[in-house]
Amino acid sequence: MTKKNPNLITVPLEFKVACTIYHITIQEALQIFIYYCTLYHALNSRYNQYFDEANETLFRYLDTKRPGTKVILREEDEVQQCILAIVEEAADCGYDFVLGRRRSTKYVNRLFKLLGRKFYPTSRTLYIDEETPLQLSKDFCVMCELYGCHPAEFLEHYMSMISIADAETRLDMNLQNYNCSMHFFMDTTNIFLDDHQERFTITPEESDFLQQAGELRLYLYTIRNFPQRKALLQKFYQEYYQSNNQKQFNYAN
Amino acid sequence: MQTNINIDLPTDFVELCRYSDETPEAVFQSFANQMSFPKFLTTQDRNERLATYFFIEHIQSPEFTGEISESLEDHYFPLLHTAVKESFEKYPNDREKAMKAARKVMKLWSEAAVAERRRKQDDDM
Repeated sequence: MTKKNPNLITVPLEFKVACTIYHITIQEALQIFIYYCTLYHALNSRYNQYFDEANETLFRYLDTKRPGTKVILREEDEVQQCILAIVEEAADCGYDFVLGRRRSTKYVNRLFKLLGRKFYPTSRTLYIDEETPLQLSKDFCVMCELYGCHPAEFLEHYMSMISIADAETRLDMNLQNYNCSMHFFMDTTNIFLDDHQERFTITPEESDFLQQAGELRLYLYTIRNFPQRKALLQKFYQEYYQSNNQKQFNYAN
Repeated sequence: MQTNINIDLPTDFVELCRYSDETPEAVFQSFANQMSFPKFLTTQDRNERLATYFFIEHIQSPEFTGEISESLEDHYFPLLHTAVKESFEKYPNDREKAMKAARKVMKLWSEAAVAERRRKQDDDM
């Protein structure tokens, strides 16, 4: 690990941009992701929306980090027993995911004690910056130990997969490339915002931004090259993010 | 080029013309003057782009009844951008020259599109 402070995660610009545009804080977005990463669903072959996309994000990271190797690295008997027990619960509970998750909690707790803390930080708190903590679930910590990754690696990978410019360009150009992380981000953010209707208030600046965005997407129709089109959209969104940030900074001072 | 167009004027449109004492011909003429890729690509003024924005929106809408060859778009749009860019590099601030360069590309493009449609019709027969 080459990080200066292993408890501090690096947030890519594109992720900040996406959070700003969708009225969600980085902390909330990551906390939602952590919530949906569960060992129960990772070990369950039945599809369950959001949980599967979140877990798929972890698997895809592992696949790029160490392709062709085992996902679960720990082979102690007791660990294997817990994993087997969860798989059995998954088979027993069928599509009753809530029941299955509840029943598997005790095994996750046991794993949490058994596995020790090789890969995740000593406390279950990571930091986005000095003042913004991120609470890791036991599930998430257990998966980090089983998969042999620091939580920051997973979170940073998830964030690196989020780009509104990329998703919109692909959509407009009919380029199919399934990005489970982006799907997860969009879907869960929409659900989250449904519960926070108060955030839908649009400022005059934002209304201008939305109008300009609409026009830009029409202009981009004349650009037929994917990287070029994406770069223009990226620049536009980043400029909006920066001006938005500057404004908040001015208000604060 | 002069043409007679036969279209239904919706009530809302007629009322706008009536209250402003403007003729439908003048409205459409002004619109037609602005609907242009050479103009669109050589200006930063959004008002000058509005008619072409409308056109781009239209060709992607369900109301579009024409036929567009994507491969020709992929070929000619970059040529258009390059023609405008090169012209501005050679003659900075000379919009007329840039539009002229773009119009040359547009002419080739529309001819290629017509030829392609003809070829398709012949194949179908």
